[in-house]
Parts: sequence; structure tokens; C-alpha cells
Amino acid sequence: MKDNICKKKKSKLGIRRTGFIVAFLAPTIIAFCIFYLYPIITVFVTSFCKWDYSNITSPEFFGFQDLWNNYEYIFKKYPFFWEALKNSTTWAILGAVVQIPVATLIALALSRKIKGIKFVRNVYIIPNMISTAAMGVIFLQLYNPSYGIINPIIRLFNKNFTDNILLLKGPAFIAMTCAYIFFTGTTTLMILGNIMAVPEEVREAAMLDGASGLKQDWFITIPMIKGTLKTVSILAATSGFLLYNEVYFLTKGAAGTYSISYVIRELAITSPRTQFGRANAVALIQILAGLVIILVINFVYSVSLKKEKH
Amino acid sequence: MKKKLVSVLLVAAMGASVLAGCGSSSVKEDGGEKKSESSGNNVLEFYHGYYQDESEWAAAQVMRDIYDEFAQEHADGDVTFKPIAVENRDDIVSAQVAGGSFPDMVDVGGDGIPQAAISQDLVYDLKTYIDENNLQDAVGLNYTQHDQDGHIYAVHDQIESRGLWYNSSIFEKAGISTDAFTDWNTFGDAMTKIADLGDDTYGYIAGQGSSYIVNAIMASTDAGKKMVESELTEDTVNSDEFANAFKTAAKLDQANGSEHTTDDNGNLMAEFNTNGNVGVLFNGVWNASGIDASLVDSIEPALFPGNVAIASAGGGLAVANNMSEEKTELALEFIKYMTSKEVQEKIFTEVQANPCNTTVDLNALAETSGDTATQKLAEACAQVNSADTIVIDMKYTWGSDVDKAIVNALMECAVSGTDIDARFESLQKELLALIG
Amino acid sequence: MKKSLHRKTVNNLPTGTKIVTYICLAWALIVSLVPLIWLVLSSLKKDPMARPGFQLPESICLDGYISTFKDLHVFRYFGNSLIVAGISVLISVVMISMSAYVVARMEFKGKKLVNILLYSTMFIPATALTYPVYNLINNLHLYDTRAALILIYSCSGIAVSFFVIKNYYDNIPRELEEAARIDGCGYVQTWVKVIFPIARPGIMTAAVLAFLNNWNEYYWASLVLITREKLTVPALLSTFTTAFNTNYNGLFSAMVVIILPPVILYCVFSKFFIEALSGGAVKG
Repeated sequence: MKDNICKKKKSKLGIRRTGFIVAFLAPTIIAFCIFYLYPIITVFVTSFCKWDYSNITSPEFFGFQDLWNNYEYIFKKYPFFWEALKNSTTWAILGAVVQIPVATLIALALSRKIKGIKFVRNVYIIPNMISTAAMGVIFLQLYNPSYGIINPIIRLFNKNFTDNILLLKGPAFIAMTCAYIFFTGTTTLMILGNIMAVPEEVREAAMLDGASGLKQDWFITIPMIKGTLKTVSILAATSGFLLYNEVYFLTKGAAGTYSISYVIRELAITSPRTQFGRANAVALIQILAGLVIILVINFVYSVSLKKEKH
Repeated sequence: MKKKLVSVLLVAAMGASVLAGCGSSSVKEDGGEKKSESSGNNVLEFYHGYYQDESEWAAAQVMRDIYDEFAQEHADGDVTFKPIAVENRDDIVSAQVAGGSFPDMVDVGGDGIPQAAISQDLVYDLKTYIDENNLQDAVGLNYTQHDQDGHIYAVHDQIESRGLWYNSSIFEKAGISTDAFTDWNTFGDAMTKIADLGDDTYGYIAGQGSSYIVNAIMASTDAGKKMVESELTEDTVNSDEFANAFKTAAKLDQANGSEHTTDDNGNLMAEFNTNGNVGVLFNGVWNASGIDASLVDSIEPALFPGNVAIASAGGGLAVANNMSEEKTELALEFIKYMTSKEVQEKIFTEVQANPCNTTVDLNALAETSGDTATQKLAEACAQVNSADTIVIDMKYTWGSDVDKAIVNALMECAVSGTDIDARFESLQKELLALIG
Repeated sequence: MKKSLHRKTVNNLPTGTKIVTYICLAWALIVSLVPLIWLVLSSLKKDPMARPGFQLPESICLDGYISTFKDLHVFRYFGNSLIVAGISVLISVVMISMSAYVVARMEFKGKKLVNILLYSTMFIPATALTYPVYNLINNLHLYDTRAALILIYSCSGIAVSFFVIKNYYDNIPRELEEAARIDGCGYVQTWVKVIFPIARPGIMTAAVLAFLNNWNEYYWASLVLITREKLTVPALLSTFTTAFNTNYNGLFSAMVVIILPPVILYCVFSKFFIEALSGGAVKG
């Protein structure tokens, strides 16, 4: 009898629990299905279809014989794919390896009580309020060889330098990277928020142990904010991988600076021979690469967590 | 305190979402009305790209006024003409086309009508109307250039006419005359002389501009001209004509310097039109209205070396297929109106563009206007219209992706020390992949 | 007590740490101020290209600002953007803080799948979204309405907000919920009364990020809105680029004007914001 009541209570709770889960998940899932699921399926299916300007409303399945037609074109014929993949991957790695440490250091600095720190904190996020498109326009001016500010600086070291750095293979890539990589305002803000949430007692205890300053940060603070670091690493790597506006505004792909997003847009939109099928083959690769990025970062962080436990 | 804040936040959030719900439903209603209105066959929506404020670009206001006038003239009709200024009509058109529809009427820019729209039979064939109403002269270049296997899908009220502009006082200083425009060798020599002047003065604005060098060199031989006038083929990519055109342009660009190179003329144009430290600018006739007052006496129009002009109908007015008879009729009426002498004169004098109607007497108009910019424009238009060789902008026949690949390759060649032959070989591969 | 502790923290910083801290702060200032100062300087020059770089303007030219405010109905754009960005941020943040809670805290079938699917949304290119979403908007008869944009913004950026918020939930000790449950709170109540307030810093961060994104978003805005009266702020920028030249003075002035509202909003709220950031989470 007693058992029965317990069970009843439990199952009632179970229903309630399920109801709660469903109710709380539903809005997001609906939004997801409308906005993303259908496109994901479309991307997947049509990447195996002939789908271009000649049959725009009726993609045509290649058949199993020619299943990989679009991929073959992308891998073997399309001249910019490998370059784009290499660039995008580099930007993704730079996001996680350069942006995150820089953002963390600045967040740590901003977490200390120093006069005027609020000012720095507020100023640092302003560049992130300017849209990347507008930033692209600004940097295009800064890099301009005739009236920008970069060439005069280079000329201090190399008097005869007159070339447009956005057209030099190598420097162009670096110049584009510099146009976005230092603006970590929002990332810093997220890290800072988490640093400040580290309980004072923990720091106090650490101080008694003799750890202070960066040492304290390294051994106490950083491990406590690992969750956030992982999240922002993923976000930074992702936005690096998806870089588009900088390519569009600064080089339009000249001097070996194509990115995956730029290739997709080029195939699907810019080309008068609209190539949705091929664009979606690249898009599928982009989605898969994104999942790889997430897996890798998850892996790196879980390994480092395990190490700590040992 | 915290609790209060949270509850306030929550209430605000809920309130907002409820409001949003109401808002969206009420907006939805009037959105719905609009839709039914347009599909109810009494509104002809016309998308165009002249959205700029008058203070930014006076010509945009002139075009809007021209459209409004037509709307007023036909205010009593069954169908209302409704011009709508939009900022990226090309994106809107391509989004609609991918969904299997086409705007009632649109002034297509950039790359012209998407092939996808034509292959779906979404665009009205204007040929019969033009023939029946004897509008051949009124539509001018459109009649031949926009002819696709006997169909005409667009009529552009302005002809995109390109030659070059040069700064005669810089030429004088460098000791060169217009003989520089005899051929591309003399042109190259002239540019070197200008660069030798020093003081930040240089030959020409390369990059986007140099794609017109390729275009013009191609047109200087019969075989090359034919290649530009048709789709890009493997034979063209591998032809001597193309190799010669590209390498000549690339060499000129390299001598000119990569710091004077841009993928968008607009980025550097002020150096020619305002600062006056550039010898030559490859730009359309419309540049007449962009010349600063201080330079108006020294900047003159000319043709590309070898007496070549680049003129294209480009995009233009396109009408949707399968509209009601009344709507189609009004749309056609509008095309007749836009190519009529009266409107075309306005397009010349006020919009400062080369009108498509060949019966307009540009010089007479320029003289009566007495405005220097208009006179310059008339001169430039006259030169283009009477050039020995008139060729289409290869962007329209070869596609903007090909054009961009060529511009990118040229820009990279402009960097001192670049191996032009090697870059050309990789360009060939790129182009073959793009058309494959 | 607390105050003295803080002071101690500053003074007790080892010299190395102090140096690193000041270097970081100096770097932060340089990086953010260089483009900013350049932008403001350029916006005050009549012809930014004639006096490039960091040269001071010959005379201060406010033409760009004047025309931005006078001819271009800036406040109309601001109003539109505030409505669209504001409402969609509220919707999406509430929606996602609900689902992120469930995923962070509850075990259920398909949880992994939900996670993976939401992750994958970050990598779907806009081109793949364009046509389905465009057709959806048309079918709902929302074309050329602000509601369409609100709908799009509420649904886009799910992944980022989800990440940020879920990460904060993960930091909250489970004991807090258990305590609430013992006090007799239901699931919903626990979330509303206990979790939501504690996770506020994360939710606020997500909201700020989403707002900035929506404020600057132009692709969708230009695609679904036709009527000029409804356009959002980024459309201002395209006004200065005509077929054959760019009015840089106007363009830069408009850029400065565009970033002003978020900057002001941020400065006004930053006090509350930082308080929320430092006062929230784990402490409980």
C-alpha cells in the first residue's frame, strides 16, 4: 500500500517533470526546426543534387553513380577551396590560441581594483559595438597605401616600400587577421563576469596559502572559470572559421585570402551561374568542420581537467 | 532587492513577448492586406535602386521624380503604379527567383537579370512590344545587346558607357599629348612619364579600372571582340588574344604600382577628380558630374587606345511574366515612357548619364544647358557613340565571377616583382574551373 | 572588512603581476582607442582622404553629423532598431534561458541530440538560410514588416546565447535547487525564484551580445524590409555610397552616430551590469 502511494507520487512527479522539460524546451525547439532544421536538411540533401541556375526550383538528384559530383568539383576543380579551408582553419586556431589568452589576460587585469578601471572596461568593448562591416571599411582606410597609417609605419623600417599590403601574399593574410583578432571586448566581458563570480572566500584562502597575483590567478581563478573559457574558445574559433566581412571588405579573396564563408557566398550568390548544389556541398563541409572544432576544444578542455584531478 | 529586480525583469520580458505577439499579429494584418492588394491586380510594384537622399546624390531624386510623374499621370487608371526604392534589389530579386517568383517590375542592376529567372520563364519578353510600337531607336543598344535568341528581357534607360578621363594639365607637365592614346604601347610610355614627375603623381587608378584595359585590348582584334561578345569558353581562356590582353594590362599595372590599385574605383577616385594627382581614370561617362570645380578645365574625356569604347545596356527594366493584362499593359507603357525622348533628355541633362534613345541630340542639349559638366558629358557620350569599335563590358557576357577573378589576378600582378606569366597560368585554371 | 581586503589585494600584487596588469590595460586602451579616435577624427574632416591618418582636421566640419540628423531621419532608424532589437532580445533570451536550464540540469532522452543540433546551427551559412526563411516570411504574409525581422532575430543566434547561458547554469551548485525543492517549490517556481536570478549575469551577457548583433545586422534587414520608414540603423550607412562615389565624411559621421546608442546604453547599464556580474553566480 505504502509502496503504491510512493509510486503514484513518483509517476505524478515524472509526468510533471516531463511536462516541464517539454514546455521549457518547446519554444527553442520550434524556433530551431523552423529556422535551422529545414535548412540543414536542405543543405545535406541538395549537396548531392545538380542544383544551379538552370533548375533553380527543382534540384535534381545525381543518382548514386554520380553521388559525389559536387564534392569532386569542389575538391578537385574549384581553385579556391583548399586555400579557403586552410585560411579558415588557421583563423579558427588563431581564435582559440591567440584571442582567448589575450582576452583572459585583459579580463584578469580588468578584475583588479585600480583607479580608472571602469573607464578601460567601458572603452574596451566599444570596438565590438561597431559592426564588422563598418570595421571593414575603417581598416580598408587604415591599410590604404596612399593615405592609410600602415605604410608610413612600414616605411620607417623599409624606406622603399610602396606596395599595397593587402595585395601581398602573406602580409595580406596577416593584415586581415589584425583587422579583427584584437577586438575581444565581448569575450573579455564574458570571462570577466565569471572571474568576478569567483567567491571572495576562495581567493582569501589562496592568499593565506601565499599565492597572489598571477600565480593565484593561474592556480585558483583559471581552473574555476574553465567552463567559460571553453565556451568562449568555441565561440572565438567559430567566428574565426566563419570570417566573411573582413574578406569581403578588405581583399575580396585576392592574394590568397579566401575563406570558407566567402566561397559559399561566391558560389551561391555572386556567381551569375548560381551554383546552389556546389555551394551546399561546401556548406556541409563547413557544418562538419564546425562540429570538429567543437569536439576538439571539448577534448582539449576535458583532458586538461582530468590532468588537474590527478 | 534582488528578487524585486528579477520579478521586474521577468514581468517586462513577459510583457514584451505578449506585446510582440500583438504587435506582430497587428502588423501581420496590414502586411496581409498589402499582399492581397498587390495580388489583387490593382498595384504595379516597381523596385528600383535610387534610394539615396537628395543631399547625397541629386540624380537619385531626379529618377524618383521621373517615376512619380508617371505614377501621377496614371493615377486615374485601374492599376496604381507604385515605385519602391530598395537598397539591394539584386538580393531581393535573387531571393524571389529562388522561390519561383519575380517582382512585378524591377530596374535590375549589377549583373543583369539572373539566368535562373529566364530559365524559369519568369520574365516577360519585351521584343514583340518593342517591334510593334517601333521602339527600336528608343531602346537603342538594348535592342541588339539584350537580344537573347530573339527575346529581349530587359531595357535599360541608360547606357553604361565607358571610356577614359585624363588630366590634361598633368599630360602637359609630363610633355605628352593625346597621341598617348594611339595604342597601349604609347599609353604605357605616357604613364611612365607621368610617374617620373614625382610629387605623388601617378599614371592611372588600376585594379577595377585595368579590367577595362583587358576588355579594350580584347576588342581591338576581330577575333578577340567576338570572344568578349559571347560566353567565356575554354578556347577563349587558352587563346593568344586573352593572354596578350591580360599580360599587357598586368605589365602596365605593375609599372603603375600596387599602391594605386583598388578593386573598387570609388576608393581612389577622389585622387583623380578632386586632388588632381592622377593622369588617367578608367570610368564611365557619368564621371563628368563627379569632377571637382577646380579641375573642370583640365579633365577631358577620351576613348581607350585604339579608338575603342565599352558600352553596355547592362541590367535594366524587367517585367514579370503572367501578370494580369492591365498590369502588363501599364508596365509596358512605363517602358515606353522611360525611353521616350522627353524622359531620356532628362536622364541626360539631370541624371547625367548616357541615354539609350539614339534620337536624342546630346550636343544640342548640352549647348542649351550651358553647364560645363553636361558639356563634358555630351562630349564623352558623343565619343563613345561614334567610336570605331564599341564593345560590351565583359562582366555581362563572361559573368561577374570571371570578371572578379581577372581583377584579383591583375591586382596581385601589380605588386612589384610578381611573375606575371605564372599568375596568368593560375588564372587560366581558375577561369576554367569557374565555367566548368 | 571587505574594503580593507580589496586594498590589500592591490598593494599586495607582486611587481611582476603589476607590470603585466598595466601592460594589458595599456594594450586594451590602445587597441580600442586607435580605431575609435581615427573614426571620430575622420568624421570631423571635410575630406577625410585629403588629410588622412591621425592628422587633426584643418577646421572642424560637422556637415556629416548635420546631414545625418537633419536629412536622414536618424531617430526613426533608432526607433526601429530599438523596437526590433529590443523585443527580439527579450524573446530569445527568455526562450533560451528556459531551454538551456532544462539541458543543463535535467536528464532526458535525446539531450545529446539537442546539444549537437544547437551547436551545428552556428555553422549554417546565411545563404542556406536565405531562401527557406524568405519563403517562410512570405507565406506568413510578414514580408516588409518589423514583425518579420523580430521573428528572424529571435530565432537567429540561438547557439551563442544557449552556450553562454548554459555555461552559467553549469556553475550553479545543485544544492541550491535541492534546497528550493525541499521548501516545496515546483520546477517552474524553482527556475523563476532561484535559478533565473542567480544566472542573471550570464543571461545579461547573452542579452548584450544578442542586442549588439541585432543592432548591427543588415543582411536580413535589407532583405525583408522594403519600406524606408521601417528600415533599421545599418541602412544609414549605405546612403552615403552612391553609384560612383562615397561621401566619407558623411559615412564616418553616421558610423559614430550609430554606435552612440549602444555605447550610451552600455555605460548607463554598466554599473548595474558589472554589479550583476560580480554579485551573481556561485556565491548564491
